[in-house]
Amino acid sequence: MSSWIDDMSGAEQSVGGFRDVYETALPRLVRLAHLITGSNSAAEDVVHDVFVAAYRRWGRIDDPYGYLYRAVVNRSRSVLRRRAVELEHAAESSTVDLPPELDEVWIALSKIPVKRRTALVLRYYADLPVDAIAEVMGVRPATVRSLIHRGYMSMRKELNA
Amino acid sequence: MSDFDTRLRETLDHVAASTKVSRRVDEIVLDSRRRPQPRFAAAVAAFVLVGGVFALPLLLSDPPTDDVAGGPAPHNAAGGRSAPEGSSVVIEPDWLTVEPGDVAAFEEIPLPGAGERASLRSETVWCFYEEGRPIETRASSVAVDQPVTTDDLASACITHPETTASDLSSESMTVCRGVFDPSVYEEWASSGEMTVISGGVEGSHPGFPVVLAWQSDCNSQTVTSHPTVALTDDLSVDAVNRARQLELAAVAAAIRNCLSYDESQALAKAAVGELGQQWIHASIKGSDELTEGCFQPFIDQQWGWVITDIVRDEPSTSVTTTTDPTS
Repeated sequence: MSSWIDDMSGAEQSVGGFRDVYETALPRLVRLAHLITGSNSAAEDVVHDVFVAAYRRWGRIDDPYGYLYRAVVNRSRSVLRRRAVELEHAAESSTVDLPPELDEVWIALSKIPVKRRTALVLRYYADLPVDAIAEVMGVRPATVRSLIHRGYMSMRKELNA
Repeated sequence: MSDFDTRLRETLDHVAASTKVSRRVDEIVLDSRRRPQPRFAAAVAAFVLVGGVFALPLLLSDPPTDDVAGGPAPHNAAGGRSAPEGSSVVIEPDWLTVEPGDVAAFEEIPLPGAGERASLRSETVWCFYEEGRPIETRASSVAVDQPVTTDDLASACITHPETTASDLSSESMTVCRGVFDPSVYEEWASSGEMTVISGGVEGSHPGFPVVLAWQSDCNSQTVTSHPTVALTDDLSVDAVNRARQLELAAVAAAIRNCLSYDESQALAKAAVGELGQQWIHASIKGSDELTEGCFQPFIDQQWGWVITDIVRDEPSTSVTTTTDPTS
């Protein structure tokens, strides 16, 4: 799993522990969800929802950061599928202030299929190895390699269109 | 590392650095402490934030209990069930009928840190502004037992906190019917993550409410900046309200019962049948949040198919099932 998840292990299983985990993990999780969903507001909702669910079962979660990480990725993918069209359009009129050469990459990323996008974000932003991405996404490592390759090619196609 | 790798990493880092983060931890903790029935609040939080009936498996017991770790409520195996066409599973007749207590139960669902009621996916409205990005929101300011009007739909677009448009007024709003290009559905189906089990893009469906936030005519003014949406002026608010009632009934059914996967699927199919195949999208979403083995139908009038889409909220599990499209 990624280094920052390892760094946050061992949280106290209490309300105080919950608050500590919340404060520590929130920014990173929202950023991750933002990159997957393409929407800052959707990302905040996704992460809040995950924390609500986590709080309900807090005493029974052995690895809070790993749980939160995987839950945010899972739920972001689900939200992105449901809001695919809206988000596609949102990305075209990007709400993120980016230099042109990066803006076109961001828009291209928003246009590729959800699974490929997720795999690329986990690889290129979270710096997860293939095995860890497979664990997070619930697929085989070979599938992750394929998703990354196909995502890579899809983005190149979008950028050259 | 290639130039492309570098650009991609730089883009992701740049976007991540610009991400706005709001802290709402008190909403979670305080709401859980004041609620006598924590199962309800967690479910409703998910209900509101994720949108729709995804959290319904949490709303199982009637009355709910504080047994967070407990399993689902006993399944209602009483008689009087009817079998939807094409399914061997029988469902309770009242699962698609709003019962007297359903509205109250829905309106009493507590929301974390908010004074509004939960929203329904059938209240979805798309707002297109003359400038700025379109917004998808819900016309959920109206009481759930009152019909939504076109003014309510327009109001949702005027009052949305994320709109950057200015000089909005109800007089400048035009409410239209929106439909998606079939390629949208085809992309979903080809993704392999969803499976069509009923319906089709060729069939008629009520579309979804679209508000044009400027003086315009639905027939002459298309949303040209949007690649996949076309407009017509024949939006049926009655269809929207009918969908609301059906969705409310399904919500109530999930509150009262622990539905098996097959029952949820049958309920979604039955909902499609109730509206003459006019549900745009209905799927089954599984969740093992607190209540493993309980499922709820996900009904969304934006889409054209009944699909099976099981994505567990429990981490590292994503399950897709395949169902005969002709069944």
